[in-house]
Amino acid sequence: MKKSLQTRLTVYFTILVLIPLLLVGAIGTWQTYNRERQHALESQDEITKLVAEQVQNFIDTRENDLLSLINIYGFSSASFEEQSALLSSLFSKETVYEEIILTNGRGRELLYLSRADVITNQELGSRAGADEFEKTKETGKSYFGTVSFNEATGEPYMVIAIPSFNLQSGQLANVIIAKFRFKSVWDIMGQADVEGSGSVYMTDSNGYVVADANPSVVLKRAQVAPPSKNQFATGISGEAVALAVKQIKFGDQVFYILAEQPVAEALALAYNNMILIAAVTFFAMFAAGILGLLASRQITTPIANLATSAQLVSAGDLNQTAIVESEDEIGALAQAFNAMTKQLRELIGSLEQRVTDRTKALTASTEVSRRLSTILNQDQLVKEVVEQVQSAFDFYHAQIYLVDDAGDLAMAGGTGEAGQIMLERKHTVSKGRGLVGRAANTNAPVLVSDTQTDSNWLPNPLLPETKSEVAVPISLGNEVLGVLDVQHNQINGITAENSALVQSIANQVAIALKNAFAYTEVEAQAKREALISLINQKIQNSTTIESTLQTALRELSIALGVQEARITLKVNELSDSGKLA
Amino acid sequence: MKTNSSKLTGKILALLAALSLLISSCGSAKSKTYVVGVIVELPWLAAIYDSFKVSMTELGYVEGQNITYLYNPEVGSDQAAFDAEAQRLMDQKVDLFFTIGTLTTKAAQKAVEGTNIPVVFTPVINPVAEGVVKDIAHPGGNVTGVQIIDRSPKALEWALKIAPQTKHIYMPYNPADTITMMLVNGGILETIPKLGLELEPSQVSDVNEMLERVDALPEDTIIFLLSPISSLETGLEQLSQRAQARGIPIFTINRDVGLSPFPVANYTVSIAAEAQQGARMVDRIFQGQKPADMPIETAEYFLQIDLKTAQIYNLPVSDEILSQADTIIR
Repeated sequence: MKKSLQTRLTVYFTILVLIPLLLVGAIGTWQTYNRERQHALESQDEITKLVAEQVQNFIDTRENDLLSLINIYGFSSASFEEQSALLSSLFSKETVYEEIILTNGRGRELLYLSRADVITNQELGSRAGADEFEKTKETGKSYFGTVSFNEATGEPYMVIAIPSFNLQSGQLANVIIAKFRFKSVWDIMGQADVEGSGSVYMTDSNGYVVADANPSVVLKRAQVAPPSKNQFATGISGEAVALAVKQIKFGDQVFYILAEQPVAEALALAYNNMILIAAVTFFAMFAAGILGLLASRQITTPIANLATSAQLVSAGDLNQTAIVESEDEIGALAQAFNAMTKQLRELIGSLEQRVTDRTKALTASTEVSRRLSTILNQDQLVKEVVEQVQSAFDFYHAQIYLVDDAGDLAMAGGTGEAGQIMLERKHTVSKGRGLVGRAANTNAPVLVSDTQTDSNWLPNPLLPETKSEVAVPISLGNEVLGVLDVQHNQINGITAENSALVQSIANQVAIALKNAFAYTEVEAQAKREALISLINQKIQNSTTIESTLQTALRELSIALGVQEARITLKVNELSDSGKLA
Repeated sequence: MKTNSSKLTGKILALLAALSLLISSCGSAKSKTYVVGVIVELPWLAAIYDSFKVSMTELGYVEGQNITYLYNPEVGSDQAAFDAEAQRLMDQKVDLFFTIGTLTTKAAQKAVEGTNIPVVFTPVINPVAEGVVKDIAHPGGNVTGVQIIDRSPKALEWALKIAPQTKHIYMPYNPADTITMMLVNGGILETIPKLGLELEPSQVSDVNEMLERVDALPEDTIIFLLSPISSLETGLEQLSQRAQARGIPIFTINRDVGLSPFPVANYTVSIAAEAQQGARMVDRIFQGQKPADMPIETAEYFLQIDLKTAQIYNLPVSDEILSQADTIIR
């Protein structure tokens, strides 16, 4: 099923509203989204920078404390008791160390301070061969070992080794090996000003988390793959996050500070904007749909009404009219449609009238023909014709003129009182005068559609309402027998078609008149011959000349309708032959 | 067409209404009142419970508002009593167990078996060895908490630093006390000779025997109390009086075990600190974290020196040692 104009208009209107709205919304959302993404990464980057700096400072401070112990307190030249006291004091105050071990220049353990274990002098061993001693000895610089985890507690540690050199000989005198607890860094993570439910944590080069505000993350040895740059990625909890990374180094050891925030939070503003825009778009779509529906209804309802009217008109109901609701183009269209319908209605009405008239005329013509075929009396014929024609065509007046012996046109019959008066007056029209005279003269119909505009038209006081008239010749070939004249009381009341019909009737009248003439003539001839025969018979029955003459004279008087008749005989001498001259 | 338009309009309105509800639902705070069942193994450990409530309040769980504690201080002292209490709390539909001690934790663990109700202990000594959890890093199940690693050898080392003239050590314990025996067998017996000390007969069967042994101790003896000593704890006050009468100083792992005067020194975990750790774990569980994914945390040890008690026993404590103490009670 094809979509209605109203539906299409509603859809178009909605689309027209939505397209710019969606474009603006999409562009705005896209910009906001990108800006928020950038902002989210920058925020996390700021956190990593800050935390990285704090961690760097914190561990650097620990290293510096150990270095200060050596450089400021003259550690290498101090007695073992002094060294023990310094280290014990440091160990008790700095809980960041799980263990502090002092070795001599050959790696032999001289002192072993531990928070967990009791190490007696007899249990002291050697660190020779261990990285923390050998590399420190080799480089003469601070050494930072790889991260290890305590099996009992799960805590990560890192060994920091500081060399102490004999100031006189420059030889390695001692190495302080401190087992640094990353647990002390956890607080830095916990105090970091993270956003929302975000977190910041520290991993070693292998990605093992060594510091996090949540101890569980560290203790379960969570491992991540530090990215090479800030990006949106899967976070430590497995959800999508805005992730920033910062690398820090202690000696040869590389660590990463990572800050992350769930994407849902980091892009909350962007998402809210998207939701808002979506809601506005939905609302706009809804509003546009309603407005479009209303607008399209305003447009399409009159058109639909017009279409309905047109369909009804096409189905034959010409009385339908379109409702004119406005004065705009649609209103003008409705008005034009109504005018067109009216014209069509009138035209069809006119056609129907014409058909009716035509049918009526044809019926009249047929009737006239049928009647004419049975009427042999001229007067009756004329009377019937004018009555039938006037009645059939609803003419104002109908009359017949016949050519008399003088060649003029004598009134033979007419309808109404006027026809009767003119008949009694023996009204005649000369050939060539008036419409009747012209028709007879030209043997052609003369039509005057508007008598008032035809200067040749002659008014008849007995027929004052005549507005149109046609006179058609009653003729057989070139012989004009008369004229059939009909008049209408409306201008253009008589058309060319009417004229043609009247002409056809006139033609039949001509034949009928001819027949009537012939019949009359034959009838008169027969009567004469019968009379002559009767008279002859009576004369033959006379026995004398006188009776013969008397009979002849009487019968002739009767036949001729004379009161007085006379036979005059003139007796002359008989000729030689004995016959009268 | 009109019907379709009405349906479409209805759908749009329904969609907008749903969207509105969705938006309005965002950010609405979830409020729930949690019910926490608490079981404490020894009366003096109730201090942890008190500190735990303080920490919970700091985390936003206010008793009577959004959290309710079900705690019976008269629950008893044996496993059967703890089991019964755990079941009683289960019947009261607790959301979480907070247990203090190994036996209470085991009772709660048994009670919640087959459920998702979490158990947070603070503390348990060596929870893996006790079978409370499978692994420190990955506990599994629905039990987690704060462990105490036995530092009794280190505590003894500190005692010896404060009382360096000590040659003998009296460390009373009842073999019937399983937790105490775990400490006894945890390394302290090996440490004693390593530190040059001689262990006086310390295995006793009851409080009286424990007290009687005090009278026979050499003068260069210190009393070192493992903690808990469960069945012997009722005699601690008498023990301290007898020791004081003999001039034998007492050192302990825990301070608040009921001694009067307090021990000279103790190397122990901080009740407030471990309670705070436990509270943080409970908070994380309430926020949705699963106990199985929460590694066991370890309580920190601290050295406390009571100079008043030290003066009673004429024990001069050097500044070097005092400087290493976390807390000095003067």
